[in-house]
Amino acid sequence: MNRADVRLLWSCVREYRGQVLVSILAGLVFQGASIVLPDLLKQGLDQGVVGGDRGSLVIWAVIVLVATLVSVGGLLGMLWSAVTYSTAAAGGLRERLLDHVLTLDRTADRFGAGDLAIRGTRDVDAVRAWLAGIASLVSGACGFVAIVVAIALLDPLLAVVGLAVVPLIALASIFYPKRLASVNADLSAAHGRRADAVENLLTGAESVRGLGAERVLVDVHHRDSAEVTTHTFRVARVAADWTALAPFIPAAGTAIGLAVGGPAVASGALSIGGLVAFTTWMTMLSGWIGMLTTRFTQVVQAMTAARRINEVLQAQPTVRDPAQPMPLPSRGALELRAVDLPGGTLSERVEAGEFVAVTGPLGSGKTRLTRLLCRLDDPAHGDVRYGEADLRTAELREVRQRITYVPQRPTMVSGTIAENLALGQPGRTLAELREACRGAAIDAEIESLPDGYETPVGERGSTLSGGQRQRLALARGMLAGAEVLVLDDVTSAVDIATERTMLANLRAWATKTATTVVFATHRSAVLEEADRVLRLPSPVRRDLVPTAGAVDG
Amino acid sequence: MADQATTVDESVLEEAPSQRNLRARAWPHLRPHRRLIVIAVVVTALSTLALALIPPAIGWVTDVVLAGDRTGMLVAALAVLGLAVARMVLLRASEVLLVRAGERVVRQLRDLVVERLAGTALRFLERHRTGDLLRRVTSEVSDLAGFVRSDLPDLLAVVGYLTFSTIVLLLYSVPLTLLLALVFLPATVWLLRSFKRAAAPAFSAQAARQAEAAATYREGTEARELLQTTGAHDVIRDRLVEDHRRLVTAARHAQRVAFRSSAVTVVQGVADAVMLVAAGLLAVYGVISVGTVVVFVLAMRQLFSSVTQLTQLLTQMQTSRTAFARLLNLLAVTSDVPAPGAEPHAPVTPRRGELSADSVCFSYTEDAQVLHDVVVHFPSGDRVALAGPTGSGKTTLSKLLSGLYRPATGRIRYAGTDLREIPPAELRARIVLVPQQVHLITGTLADNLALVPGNPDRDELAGAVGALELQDWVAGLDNGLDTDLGARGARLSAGEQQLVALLRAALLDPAVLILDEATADIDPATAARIETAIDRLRGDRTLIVIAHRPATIERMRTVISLRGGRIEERSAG
Repeated sequence: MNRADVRLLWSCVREYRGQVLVSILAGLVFQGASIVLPDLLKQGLDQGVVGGDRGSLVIWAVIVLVATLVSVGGLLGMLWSAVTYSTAAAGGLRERLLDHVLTLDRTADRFGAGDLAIRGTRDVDAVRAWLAGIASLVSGACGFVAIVVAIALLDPLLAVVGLAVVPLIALASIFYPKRLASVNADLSAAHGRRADAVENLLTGAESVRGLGAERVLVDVHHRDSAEVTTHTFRVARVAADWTALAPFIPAAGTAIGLAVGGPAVASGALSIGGLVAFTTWMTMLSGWIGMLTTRFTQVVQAMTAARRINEVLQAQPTVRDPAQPMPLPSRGALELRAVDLPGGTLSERVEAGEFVAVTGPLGSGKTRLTRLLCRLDDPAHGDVRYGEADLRTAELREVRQRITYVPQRPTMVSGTIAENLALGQPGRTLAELREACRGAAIDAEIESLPDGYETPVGERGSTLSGGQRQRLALARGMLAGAEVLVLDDVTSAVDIATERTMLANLRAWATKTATTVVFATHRSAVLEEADRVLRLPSPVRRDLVPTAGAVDG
Repeated sequence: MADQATTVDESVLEEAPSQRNLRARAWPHLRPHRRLIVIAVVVTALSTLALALIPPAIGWVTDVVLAGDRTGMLVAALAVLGLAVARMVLLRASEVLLVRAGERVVRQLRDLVVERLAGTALRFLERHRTGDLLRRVTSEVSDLAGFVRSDLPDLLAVVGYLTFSTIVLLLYSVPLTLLLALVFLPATVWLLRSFKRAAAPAFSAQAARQAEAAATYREGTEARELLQTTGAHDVIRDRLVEDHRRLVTAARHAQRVAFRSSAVTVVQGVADAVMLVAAGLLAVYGVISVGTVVVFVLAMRQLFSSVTQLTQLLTQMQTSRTAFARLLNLLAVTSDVPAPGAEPHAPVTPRRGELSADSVCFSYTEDAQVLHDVVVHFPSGDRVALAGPTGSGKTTLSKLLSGLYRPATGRIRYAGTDLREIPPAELRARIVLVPQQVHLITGTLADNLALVPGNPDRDELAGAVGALELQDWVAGLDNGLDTDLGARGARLSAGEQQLVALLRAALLDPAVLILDEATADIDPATAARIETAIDRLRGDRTLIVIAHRPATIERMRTVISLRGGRIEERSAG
């Protein structure tokens, strides 16, 4: 049980403390009315049935009815409040996860995409289930104590029997949750691995199927699926031990209580109604313990989930905002100082307004270089400067406003073309979108679509071709109005005629807006268009420099 | 066959599929495990019988206490203890057995659904949000497993308990049992039915909203760098917040529906009061013993709490039914996928042959046709470049030629056989497509290369590396073939990722190899070397290359130009 995990769960409760409190109070009303019912029935039995008084039979019957109504009212209040705050809190938690993931750099890749999804769905759901059950847990625990007290008031000897079972139950409630937590964590992990296997099958479908590799991935899935089964059985055995043992303890208590209580009735110390109330309460006790164990299981599952959620929330990016951010100079040269690339150390300066192409053989670090320039990664050695200021001293948000990056394989979010173009810059007019698209040589294609700029792009832009996505991303980059545009091979999937138009437009636009362009590429048309070509050397054999990693070291 | 194929290509999953005849539809999946299921149910029945016998045993205690029989008291109390022990042992066995049976069913289902997704049409996958599909196949399946693990045993226990209690009560007093039934049953049944009617749509809506929020969350985490570089966190965040708002509304609605089942408790209160008066009067007039009154009062309380538990479990079951219906919907929509293992027939096509497209038309949406009447033949051993501007339909044609898409009209044939009639595994042995986008899994280079049929060994991997003259590149990685490529190959550049895809292709020996911009991200010098190596590798096989790079196109014997979805010209390259 980690302190941070407890804090995470507690923060969810604190945020909705008013509603949690209402839910608990309503739960207490429900408990109180339910527990007093056996006593009301006892009075009815003793005065009405055994005593033969017909009038009091009716009176007690009416009281029983009223108590039932109160108990139901409490139950409804408890559940209504619980569903409201637990769903809202779970949503808040998922939003926190998303917010945090969006501050991460490559550290986010440590979690598989499927696993990250599971943490935001299944694990958040586990926390939600626990939150929804808090009132039931707290009021149930109070009810539990109330029942023991009620038995004690009936006959002290019976209370001894009733209390004797409590430590046994407590012991079971300490031993089993621990056991269950460890087997449950294994089960969660197995589910996560299986989800990753499914994910691999679904996301790369085209590439996987082109080679006929589905079978290989299906076999991997089946292996993971078999493991899920093994862990499910293990959890089931532990859970079954617990479920079977938990109600047995009070049931055995009832049997012993009857052996003790029988003579008490015979000697007149206890009424028949009292004996009935005792067994009813003992039955309730076992029901309550069943409910409490379910709730404890949820606590355990929520702890496991909280740990997995915290792993994400506590992941710290290495690329992050400085403690005291300094504003970037208004305009200046982009400079690499002694930065490590696969081909060796590089120092290079790109003047403001310059159009520089970066090229080099496979693995020479073109992509790595472009990512350094807009601070998607930090260099292991050396630094990247804009107008003499180290990028690491400025706010990330500012760096990315001033230096726009367009990756080689741009992603999209689901929504329309217009929404994707104006990402991060709401309020752009259609005319502005058109102009940017004309620059990226994609305006005609968009306008030929029946819905034009309102055409949905599909998930991850799946309804667009790779070349169309590249040009839309370029249009988006131009629209951002940054001082520097860093492009990673954004013409790799377009034909030569289109490429020529794109380059001519890009050049005209860059000159007009005085934008600096850094363009990683191996296309000759780009190299010809550039003011200057920076050629990266071939990678040095990495076995000679064992410390340098492939991309992020 | 052709018609069936078209319907599958156009079928779409339902958000909230019908839950009618769910049991009948589930039966084929339960059938193989029926013996285990029967044993589990019998043991569960015995364990609930033990529980149902406890109130009569206590009633017996009351009667012997009132009679003042001290030995009888001890015997009766021992009987209660014996029943409690029996209950404990049987309950444990029943839970383990039920989970065993249920998990086997669920495992078979999840394996089957994965087989289906692996075999279904590519267009089908492209039409759905991955998040939604993934949720159906992962978290909803694990919900189902959870239901089987914890709720199903309870459900069966409660149903069994209610049955046995009724029998026991009838044995004690028929008129009282009938009265109980009269007060209690009609109102309860009415409430539960009204609950059931409203529950299906309410819980489906809740599940759909949940899936929506999950898909948005997932999309946000996957588009992380895009959102960071554009500063557009808020776009996805606002969507997620809106999804959550709608989820809360749906959850509250579902809870209101669930309240109908809580109203049963009120009926129980009425029944309690009526029984107290009725049983009390009967006892006062000496018709029944005080012991019988005790049995009824006790059994009724358990009966009621069982009914409440039953309604709660029915709520749980409703969620699981929804997930189950969504899973069955997925299975039904993909039911044309042949079962694996049925395949190792003798091949229906020769090892090498001509690939041809006749009058092929294709469109993604109804109003925009992408390919018009394409007729093209690739004789065995041909070397062809497919050229044309972006958006001219080259990639679509490559997917059709490799059988990943099926033409709306027209035929694609290999060696004279329609691709639809060639078993999937054989088709893939004949035609391989390497698209521009490479899919890498988290693991080593060797793990990634092994992502091809045929389970290649280390020697074969090394052979492929040699054939494409990439020994230097592999040797340059930290650990050669055992280099960890990071999450989804994140440590490789786009060009290096393409090398992995080409190496995979080199492990196979298809009659037709289609490269769709498969060297576009590789620098020209390396690309030229590899393209030459691929060309030389197997002279008798057909090579179709889609490329924009002039040097790549020039290396091919023939160039076919595509423009606006039509073949424009065919010329010697």
